[in-house]
Amino acid sequence: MIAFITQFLSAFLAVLVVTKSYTDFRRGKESRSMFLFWTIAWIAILLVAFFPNKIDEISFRFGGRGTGVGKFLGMALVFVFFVVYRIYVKADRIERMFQRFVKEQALKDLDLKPKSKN
Amino acid sequence: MHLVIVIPAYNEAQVIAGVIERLPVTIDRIGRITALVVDDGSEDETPMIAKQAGAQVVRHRVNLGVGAATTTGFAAARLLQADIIVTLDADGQHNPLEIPRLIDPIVHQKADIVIGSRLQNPAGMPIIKLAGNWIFNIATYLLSGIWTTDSQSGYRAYSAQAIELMELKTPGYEICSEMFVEIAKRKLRMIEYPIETIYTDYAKLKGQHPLNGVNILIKLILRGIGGPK
Repeated sequence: MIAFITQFLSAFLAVLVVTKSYTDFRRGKESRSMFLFWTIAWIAILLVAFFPNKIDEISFRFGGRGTGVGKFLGMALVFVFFVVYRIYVKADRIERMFQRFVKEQALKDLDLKPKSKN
Repeated sequence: MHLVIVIPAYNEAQVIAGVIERLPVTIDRIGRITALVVDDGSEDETPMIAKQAGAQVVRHRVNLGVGAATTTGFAAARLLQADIIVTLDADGQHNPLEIPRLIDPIVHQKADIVIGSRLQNPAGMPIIKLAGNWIFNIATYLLSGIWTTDSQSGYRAYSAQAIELMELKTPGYEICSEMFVEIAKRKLRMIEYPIETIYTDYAKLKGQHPLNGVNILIKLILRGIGGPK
């Protein structure tokens, strides 16, 4: 049941994040590399969510306790990455708006009929 | 022709007046010269001193970074209907008397951008800065495909058309390398011109750490600048 919820949630959030990122990329609000980063990150999350046994196998091979580690990691990654994505988008947007505002204010100081140096 | 000299400045109260006072007053074929200081949120008396020394001053209310200050300077130069724009550092490391020779290829329409290169004659440059510059140059080459001997020089001249065409986005020191990406993208004509660098104790304290090259490369990649063309 937990595995099903994780898979459903991760698929839902992955579609949400990647489509939002793609829309922002098409509008020029996000760079190509950030769009690719989020797409690859969410594909990785989906792989963990849909194949937790593989993660258990890897964890077991490196000396960890295999049972349940993959499922737990999957759920944790889904939530953490979604929160990180939301924070990134908001912070980036606020930073750009702030910069634009400061620059526009600065240009108001400009005297368009200045005295020349010569 | 109208020449606008853009000087991005952050806490340069000690030296800014000297820089402005050494700017040339007349240049052959230039009808008007405007010194424009972009104060990047200084906490000292930089804007007041710059104004008293005869410069136009526009002021960022908070510190955004040298890249943002430079692009604000470009926007101001456009509003002032500049034909040629020169950028130079406010810490006094550039010799303003070299401006006429720096802008000459633009006046004669032989180039869109002239890069003042400290490394064509690096005598006197501290070895750590020399090594750092090579790291920056390699990072810039990987991003833009353009090899330059001084990717981080702040002493540059631009035609008004070059300023119009370039879409610069980065707010910090990354702008020096980003500009080469734009030069490649917009197919602008660029040449280098050897410049003298004045390494005062004050100027040595300023500037970037050589390891910042890695940081700049990461920032440029994350902002989607550069990469395969």
